[in-house]
Formats: sequence, structure tokens, C-alpha cells
Amino acid sequence: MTKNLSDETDVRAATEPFQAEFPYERDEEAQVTRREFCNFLGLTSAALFAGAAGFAAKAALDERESVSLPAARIDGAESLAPNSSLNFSYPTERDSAILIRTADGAYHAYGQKCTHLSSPVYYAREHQRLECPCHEGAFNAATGDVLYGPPPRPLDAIEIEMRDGQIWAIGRTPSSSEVGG
Amino acid sequence: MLVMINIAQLWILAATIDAALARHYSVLVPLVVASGVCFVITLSIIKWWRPTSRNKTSTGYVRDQR
Repeated sequence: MTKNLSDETDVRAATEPFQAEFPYERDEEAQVTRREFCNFLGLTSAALFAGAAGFAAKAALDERESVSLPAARIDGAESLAPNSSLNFSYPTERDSAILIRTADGAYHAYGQKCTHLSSPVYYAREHQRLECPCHEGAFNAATGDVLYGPPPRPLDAIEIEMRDGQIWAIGRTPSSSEVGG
Repeated sequence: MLVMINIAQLWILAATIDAALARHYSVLVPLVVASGVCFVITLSIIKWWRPTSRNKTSTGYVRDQR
């Protein structure tokens, strides 16, 4: 019958000769020293600094990068009645956008995502403005600027152009100005 | 002190991410500089701080005893 060795007594007793030369206390084994803790905080500080610098660098690169988007014809825009809107996608099928023909006959196009929480905005004919039903935000139909509500910045503007009587989307400009700033 | 600086840096990182996503490029540089200053302070503390109770440091420096 084999005896189960105890880690605390038998092993320590068996290694006693070595412990005379290489002593260490088991209780202190798991203890983090002040120096180790400070080093850990120093590494954390370096990581946080690197993270902030990385995000800033990426944002700066994104700002410089000017992506030229392909022009796309907006189907049915020519027959759009004044004071009404038309949904389309630009620049990809997943980027929903809205074309508005205001009461004076002018065309304006915007990304359909509300700048608050990306809910789709719609054109409210009776008020002649773009409204977000989720949190009651509203945008100017002619400029895309915030009229009221929680959205922090204007809608993304889509540049449009009239070519041979047809409306084409030719670019998309992300909004950057904060409300009131 | 180091923990407090880490918390401040965490807050600065959150503000940096917010500013980057909101395309507020003008505030990014001050935020990164602030984070860098925090990092330098952290390094300074780790490198040069010694407990006042010690009269001898791990590098062998012996405090002047009068």
C-alpha cells in the first residue's frame, strides 16, 4: 500500500538539504512585490498611451485618405414630386441614403443613418424636415444640420449632380462639425 | 499615485476613441500628448521613487545618515 505524500511535510522534508542553499518561503511565493506591481502599472500606462496614439494615428490617416467613390444614377429621381423623398443606396447596397426634393424643387441627398444611434431618418412632409423617430431628433432638409434632439452632428451629405436630366450621386462627405461647436 | 495616473490615462483613451469616431481631429493631439505626459510621469516614478523609510536601495545607494 503506497502512502500519499503530503506536499507540505514530505516534499519539504525531502528537499530540506536544497532549501538550506536555496531558501524560499511558500507563503511568499504568490506574493506580488511592490516592484512587480509598479512594473505592471508601468506596462499598463505604456499600453494605454500606445492605444491613444494608435487611435489618433488611424483617425489622422482616415482623414487624409480621400476615397473617390464611383458615380451612381439614382433611379426615379427625375420624377420625384416636390416636397417628397426617395430612398436609394450609395455608395454600396448596404449604405442607405435618402434623396429629398424640397418644396422649391431643389434636390438634396443624405446618408439615412441618424448621427445619434444610426436609426434611419425619414422625410416628414408636413414639417419639411428629416426626422428620426427613435429619439425624436430632427435635421434641416436643405442643409442636413441638426434642428433639435440628441444627434451630435449633421447628417452625412451625398453630393449629387444633374447629368442629361438625370440625378447622379457622385460622392459622400462625412459630417464632422459638432452641434454648437 | 500610479493607479490614479492609470485611471486618468484610461479616461484619456476613452476620450480619444470618442473624438476619433466623432471626427474631432483637433482634440486628438492634445489627448495623445496628455497620455504621453502621464506615461512619462509613470516612468519617472518607477525609475526614481524610493520609499523614504529605506536607507539603502536595491541599487546600492546609501542614504546620507547624519
